[in-house]
Amino acid sequence: MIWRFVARRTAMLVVTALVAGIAVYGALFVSPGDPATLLIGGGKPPNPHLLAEIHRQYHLDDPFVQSYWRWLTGILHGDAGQSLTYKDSVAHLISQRIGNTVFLVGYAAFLIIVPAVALGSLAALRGGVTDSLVTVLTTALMAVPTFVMSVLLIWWLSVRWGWFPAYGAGTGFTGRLEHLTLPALALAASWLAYVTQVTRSAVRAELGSEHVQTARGRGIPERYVIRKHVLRNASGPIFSVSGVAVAGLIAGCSVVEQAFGVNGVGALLIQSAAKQDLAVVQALALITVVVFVAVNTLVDVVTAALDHRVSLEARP
Amino acid sequence: MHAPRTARTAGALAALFALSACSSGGGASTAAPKAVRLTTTTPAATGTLDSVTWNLPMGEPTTLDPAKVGDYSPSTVESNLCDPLLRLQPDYTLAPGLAKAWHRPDPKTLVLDLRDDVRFWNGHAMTAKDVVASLTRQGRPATQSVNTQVLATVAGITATGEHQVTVRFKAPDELFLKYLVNGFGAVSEAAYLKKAGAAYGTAKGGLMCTGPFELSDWKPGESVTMVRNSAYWDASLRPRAKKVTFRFVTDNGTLTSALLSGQIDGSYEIPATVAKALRSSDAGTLYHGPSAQTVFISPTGPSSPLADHRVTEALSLVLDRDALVKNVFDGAAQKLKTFIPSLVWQNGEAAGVYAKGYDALPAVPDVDVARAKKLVDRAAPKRRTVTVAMGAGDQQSLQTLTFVQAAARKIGLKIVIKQLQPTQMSGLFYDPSLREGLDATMALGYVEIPDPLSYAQMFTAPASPMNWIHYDNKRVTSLLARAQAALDPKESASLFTRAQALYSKDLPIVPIAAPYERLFLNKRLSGAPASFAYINMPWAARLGATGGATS
Repeated sequence: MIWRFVARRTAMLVVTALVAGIAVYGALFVSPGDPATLLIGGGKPPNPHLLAEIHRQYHLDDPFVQSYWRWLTGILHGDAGQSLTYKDSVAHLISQRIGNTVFLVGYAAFLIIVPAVALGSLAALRGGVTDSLVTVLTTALMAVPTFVMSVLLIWWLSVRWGWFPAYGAGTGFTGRLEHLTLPALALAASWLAYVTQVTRSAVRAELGSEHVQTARGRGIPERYVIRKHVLRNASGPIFSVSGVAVAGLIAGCSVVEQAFGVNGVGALLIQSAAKQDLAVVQALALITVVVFVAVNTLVDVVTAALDHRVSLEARP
Repeated sequence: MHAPRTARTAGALAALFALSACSSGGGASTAAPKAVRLTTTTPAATGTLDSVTWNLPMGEPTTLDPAKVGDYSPSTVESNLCDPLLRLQPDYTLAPGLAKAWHRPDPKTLVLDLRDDVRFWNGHAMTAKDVVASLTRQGRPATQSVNTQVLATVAGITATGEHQVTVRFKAPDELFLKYLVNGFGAVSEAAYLKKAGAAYGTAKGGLMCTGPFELSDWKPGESVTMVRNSAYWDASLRPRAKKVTFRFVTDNGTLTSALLSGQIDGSYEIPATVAKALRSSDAGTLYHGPSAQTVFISPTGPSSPLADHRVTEALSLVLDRDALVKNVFDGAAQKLKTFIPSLVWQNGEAAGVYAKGYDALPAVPDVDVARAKKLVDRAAPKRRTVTVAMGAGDQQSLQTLTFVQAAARKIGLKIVIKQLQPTQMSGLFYDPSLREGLDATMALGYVEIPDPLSYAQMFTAPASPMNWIHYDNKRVTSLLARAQAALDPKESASLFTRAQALYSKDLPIVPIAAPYERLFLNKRLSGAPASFAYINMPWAARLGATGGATS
């Protein structure tokens, strides 16, 4: 059953990637402007011959179908093409940056899931003042957009107190940990609030459910009830919302990477899209689609494994 | 597409952040801009530095190949790596570089005598062969040089000795020599050029030059690093900084915090919003220097209402430039009668002639709404709506255009501001179809070489790709052509000023302001030139510590 599910998901992934690829390629293709002109700006008079030479070298004048076909056949042969602005292979550009993005997303995911599950469970189990406090805090946190969070964090923790560097990705594990703390916090903040609230209500729902009451009525120790019945059954929705959060981080890291000057694939995507650097945008769009679908698939499989009431077959 | 929107938000946010930084960081905050004091150089450095982190606010260079360099970021880096044949001084005058002397045996021949003690970073001696290879490769289409027009008058470049190069011209050309100060005149090793091919100047292909710094590492997206060349031929310019790392922070908010916290040591081209926050900071000093940049509005086609000189004159008459300089440029700009800033000529050999010509131009007008209204009525433009293009997210242009918009309303002109994405904005300089639907564009330009001639030709020559309104004044064209052929500086200057008097009268361009160069230096360093000439000189070689100790 699981293999049929995975096979179906894979087929869907291929179709999604193809459609997304054509859509992204087409959007950049028809948008006005000429990426070659960005390469030769400055204090010099425009030189049409120079432009023609760049167009010739990078096949910029080819019709849509022909240039898309060149890209597609290239990618099937494992060649993602050449970046127009960086004059480097796309594979090399991405491989140099993806480490930073993976680290950032991983760090942010850790900063979301661990405190969110702890806080949410605490709020649901303790109730009273703790519950109100967590609810108020997370509601406020959810309302702050990521870019505002970035500015606040930089201002307080970097400029005023000098605890963390304001920009860049750092090198090595400790260097990255130091440099990426602020970006990860900015990225994690609103998702942290979201996952906390979902955790809180999931635990709450389980606490009030019939089987927990029955268990309590049978005199089973409270600690055992919470561990075996409440938290275990609540883990399905918690895991599933955490998966959504991680998938959301992949999309959200562009803004944060740009704001903190982190040299990751998110910032590369923004810069390349503005410069109409087709090959780079295309490769990154493809990677994003694949990772996004893969994370969601994984979440579905694990959720089904955690909770046997959820069937993989019933899902589209 | 969401990427552009993000860029715009980031820009707006940066402005907000810089403002908040200003009000909370200053203590006894000085809200009103003080009178700006101009300085060509910063106090001389006294000590050495282990490492300097410098920012390029216009983003990462796409190449460092001297033949392709012609923009803020690449020039800022490249000018420290590759020595040109002639060197630009902080006051925008010429000085010997790799060529120690030059003479013209006849008007169509230029002989350059090269230094014989210059070595490339790899230790190989520089010879005439390298100079010939570096200059001639820029004429080949495959090189994709941005300087091909410099070679238009050249008949041949040959080595006439181990350390002598002779250039022969089809017609006398006084501009050629001045172009030797920038990337066009930079010398790379011939053997290395051949080996690197099209990859020359990229992160992969590297460079081989003779400059005070050597390119050591380029991590795309992350940083460009150069280390000092301790065997540099010019002993007076041996760098005091062992290593300079360039970063590419384009976000104004991030740049402000990085400079305030000392994580980045300095930067040229500090944006106005960032400058407001830095002015009152004790992290370092914000310097203002003379500049060769101007901001102006130029019509994009003959059907634009602004193609009529009377309409642009009217617009000029309602624009309160003093308020504009104070509010948009934070006081760091000056009013100008024309679109070529005076730094370009004011210290050169023929400064007197140029100055006389400039003085003779009509003064920058005071606000006179009644006269402006009359001019518009007389011109009676077919359309009273004028669409002006600017680069999306550029705060300075947006604020300037908002000023123009408010002023134009008084004379019945409706200005529509159109923010274009980067490729669209750069593309309109090349592709007429991208200028359709636009009437004018806001431009920030700079004059790279110490001569106003080429810049004036760009707008007035009938064949120039920048002459969008098809301006054609035979006398102007002929005067400028004669000025280029005149090898005596005073004669060339005099011919130029005669042309300038003519085109200023009928060329529909609205000069807005000439912004000063803005440089920020952390308090631990000093010595860098504060003038715009940095763009073509080894500025980082003058950078050093302020305290005297190694830090």
